[in-house]
Amino acid sequence: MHIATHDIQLADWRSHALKLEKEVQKVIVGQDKAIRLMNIAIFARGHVLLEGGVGVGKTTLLQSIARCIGGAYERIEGTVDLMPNDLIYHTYLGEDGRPKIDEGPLLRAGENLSVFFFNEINRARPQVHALMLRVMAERHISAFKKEYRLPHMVVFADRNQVEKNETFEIPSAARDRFMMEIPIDIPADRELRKALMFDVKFQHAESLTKQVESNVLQFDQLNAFSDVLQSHIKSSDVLEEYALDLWESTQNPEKFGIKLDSVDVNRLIHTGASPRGMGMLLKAARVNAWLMNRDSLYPEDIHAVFHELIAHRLVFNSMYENRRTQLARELTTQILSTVAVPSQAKSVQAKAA
Amino acid sequence: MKSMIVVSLSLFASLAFGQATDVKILNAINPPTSNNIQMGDVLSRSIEVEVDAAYQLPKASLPMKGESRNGIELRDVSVQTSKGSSTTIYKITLSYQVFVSAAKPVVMQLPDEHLALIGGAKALSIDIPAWKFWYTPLVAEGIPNAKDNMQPQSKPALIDLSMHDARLWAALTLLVIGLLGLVYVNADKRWLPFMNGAFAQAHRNIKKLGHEQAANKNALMYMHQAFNKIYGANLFANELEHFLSANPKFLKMKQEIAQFFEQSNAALFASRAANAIQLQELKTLSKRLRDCERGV
Repeated sequence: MHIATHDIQLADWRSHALKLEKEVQKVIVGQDKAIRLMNIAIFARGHVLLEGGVGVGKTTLLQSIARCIGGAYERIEGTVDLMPNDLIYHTYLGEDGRPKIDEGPLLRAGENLSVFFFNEINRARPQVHALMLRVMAERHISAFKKEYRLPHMVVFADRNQVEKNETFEIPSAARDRFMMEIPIDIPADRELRKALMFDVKFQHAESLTKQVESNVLQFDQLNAFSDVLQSHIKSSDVLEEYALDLWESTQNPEKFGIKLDSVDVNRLIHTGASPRGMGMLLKAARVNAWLMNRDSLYPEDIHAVFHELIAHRLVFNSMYENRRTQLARELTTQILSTVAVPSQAKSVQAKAA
Repeated sequence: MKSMIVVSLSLFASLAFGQATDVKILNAINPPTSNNIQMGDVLSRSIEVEVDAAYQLPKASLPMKGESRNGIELRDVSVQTSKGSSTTIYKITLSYQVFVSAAKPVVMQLPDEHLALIGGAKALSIDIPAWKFWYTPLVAEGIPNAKDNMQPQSKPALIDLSMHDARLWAALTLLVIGLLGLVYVNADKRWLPFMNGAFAQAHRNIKKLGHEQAANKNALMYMHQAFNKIYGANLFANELEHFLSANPKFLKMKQEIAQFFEQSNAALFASRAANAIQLQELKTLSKRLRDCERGV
């Protein structure tokens, strides 16, 4: 009976999750993979860093998703003079001419805050990063002599990789707090590009977002359901061995015979994926398995999120750091094509012995 | 034209053998050559006659075997009789051997024979006339030493075997190609180039597996290794289209490959291993994939 209830719950939420994707796909074209990854992050309760050029639709994508999730949506723009307290409160002169203090974007909606969008996070100072990262990790903050809990909040941040002036590189520890870094590229399909240029509906982002059905998900139940989902998806010994191999390959790629053009792989990696990163990888992979209507984790589930989960967590030696976007993509691709799943051999042979 | 020839032959036979008209000659055969006959040669003649069924050819009227007349000895006599409703056909064959010693070529003859028939109203006989031939001595007269008379043995004319030779080689070539083809298609071992493909190895390894508990999983592992080797990277179910477009020789097995990946995932990763693939199925599948790999 209990199992049947779970199955119904899982199927019900899955239909809502797929509906969210369809709703967002109505207004965001050519970004199906990014939408699927955002969906996975929502159900894995992870924060997302979007990376891409200017005007590729990052903000519209986030607003559309926030509308589907329901709850309150807050946003702040990263600037060089932004200070941590700008997130907590703001001051203004009231109608009576006296100075007043009000709650800032982080606290304004209280527990109803479901999506906090930090636009151009790399323009903000490290002090702001520090505050954000603490809130992202702990999901609560003390202000105005009381505790503000933000249990349902997920942070969607974006950074513009093109401009480097007046920006602050997000340190590796900070990047690690984000579950995924999702690249948003301009669609390659010529027809889609044509539509984006000539279809007038894409020129009014605000009205476009309103076409998306609101409150497709119940944002305040996502945490509880995420726990159900995570415990429902099982992984076999073989898959766990494989995941361990993948982890090790991010630390010592040369051990697995991984090679990259014009790169000395022995000197490439400074720090591989963290335990938190690998935990998040498996969490996101389980969501993918659930979306694929399975109750077991397959290697394909890990692959579906591997690059977006791992690439931004890798710390390269300084001589390679300026090529990190390209090298991280190449390395994750090489890891997946080189580390064999039938290192099943090891577990199988061990069992046979 | 045909009837003219038959009439002519009958007339010739009648004249040659001086036959009574009540005895109908069907066929008469004399020795093929009438010259250069030497001592020891055997000459055969036969006659086939049809007589009324009332007449019989008694054994007593046949010449005696071993009888010698003028150096010609009757070596063998045979009679074949076939009886019809109103007539009887006799086929008489007489074999003579020449035992005469003459120093010069002479004309000799096979003696005439009269074989009396009995049982009928008339006194009939089968008359076989004498048949003349030239006897040639082995050694010419007046040569004291046979050695001087010896002639070099002429080399027999060789039969042209080149056509048979060519056919034999063609057949042998086809046989060898056929055998190599059979080996290429069926052999497990690496006997020929291009035989030791990834699936050939996998098939060999899977065949070696016994009934141990991990046999199925090991077999799956061998199959995955083969797929990875051909693909040049790890191959997963979601990359099958790419694999097949890069290796179109496996296209005809598309459905089976997709099913294999599904079952393999279920066996290796699923908590409930439904429809687990069996070792025997993997043996068959690896053999079929090996055939694809070998292009057969």
